[in-house]
Amino acid sequence: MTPEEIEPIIESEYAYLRTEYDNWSPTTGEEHDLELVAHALRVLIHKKVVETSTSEFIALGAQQNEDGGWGQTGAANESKIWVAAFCGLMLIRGNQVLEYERISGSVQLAIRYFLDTQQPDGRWCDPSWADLDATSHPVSFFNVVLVLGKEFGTTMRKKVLESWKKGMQFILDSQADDGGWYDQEFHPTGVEITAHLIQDSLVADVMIENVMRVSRPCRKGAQLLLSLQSESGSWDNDNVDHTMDCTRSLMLVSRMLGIERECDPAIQAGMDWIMQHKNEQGWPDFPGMDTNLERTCDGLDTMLKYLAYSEEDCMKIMRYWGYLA
Amino acid sequence: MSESPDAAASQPVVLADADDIQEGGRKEVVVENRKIAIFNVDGQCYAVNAICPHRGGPLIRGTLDGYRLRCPIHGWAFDIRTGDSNGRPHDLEIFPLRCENGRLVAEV
Repeated sequence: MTPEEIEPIIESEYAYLRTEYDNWSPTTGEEHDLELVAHALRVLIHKKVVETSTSEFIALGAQQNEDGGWGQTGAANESKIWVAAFCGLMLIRGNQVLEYERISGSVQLAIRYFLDTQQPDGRWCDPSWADLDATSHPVSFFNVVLVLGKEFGTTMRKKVLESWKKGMQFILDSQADDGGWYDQEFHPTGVEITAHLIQDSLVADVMIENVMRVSRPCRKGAQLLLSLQSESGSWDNDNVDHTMDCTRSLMLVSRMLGIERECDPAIQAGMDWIMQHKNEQGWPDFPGMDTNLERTCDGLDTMLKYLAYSEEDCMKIMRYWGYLA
Repeated sequence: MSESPDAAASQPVVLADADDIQEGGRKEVVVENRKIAIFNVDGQCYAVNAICPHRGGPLIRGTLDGYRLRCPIHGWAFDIRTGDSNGRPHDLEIFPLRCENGRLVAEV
């Protein structure tokens, strides 16, 4: 796929997402699944339409619980680690453009929520997810807080850094010898979780402090993903979600580690497979199934990241994870 | 993959012919806009809600290890005989089946 081929598809898919506005926007009620909302707001950030989407970001902030987290829906009072981190991440990133004090306040509250809920060994827990999943999201949120959140003051940033290190160490200590991460209950094949965790771990060395020496294990994780790709270009038995996860992750990791030559054929094959299995509007969970709106947001995100990956400026892709101001 | 079964307007509902799902096989049917996945394990058929209660993953594409069905999206696993999710926040809805004149019938 070339950027020229992808751009019109981005526009048509984005237009489709807008037609589904009432099904995902937090401005239209508190019953929406906030994970879907966060997926959609990520598209708005990467589509660079945050300035004209102020109300969506403010509405998400307004649905924050008193403890600083978010529940599965805007109306749910019980905060959940995974969804709260995704919401906090979208708010801090959206506020890079908006610079609203109210949203900054929401992000600070979210930071406190994660500082309060971390376990002594560095992990976070959420009964809906593996501990590695649940830890991955707050670590990712803190990655971005440390890079972008200059306004939060020395004391808070110091606490975030300490917490982030503990979370990161928990992740790194859980990596298997083959470079993958596994959870026997949730992720026996390790594909999706490895795709998530190599992109989180990578930041430890490259962006913040050169103390954890994760380049080599991350490279090993990327090589494991390469070895698990099917000949058709997909991962995990034609799993659209996991193929998008792996393709996106390899874009970032290959750029940051300078291993594009090794990874690019897999990225191109992944992109080709993803585009071949798009429905007329949106993406399904597996080829031939009905369109899933969350997967459609993932598809748009993958295409937008691919455009950044295709640019000569190797730093550009990092902005699509919030790892660069 | 989905098919419309010979669903009656009132309960109980015929989901499929028993011969349609051989041992080790599976089939998804739609009854009044509800997707139901049927699995044949060791010659016995089990019907469950085809939509994972976690994030809506398509359980018809899940992996089966004995009676344990794992969602292909985020890995929640369920006992297809009971719906038990092994400690996750939601169990899986099941539809006890009976065979009547070679057809699989459930209360849906």
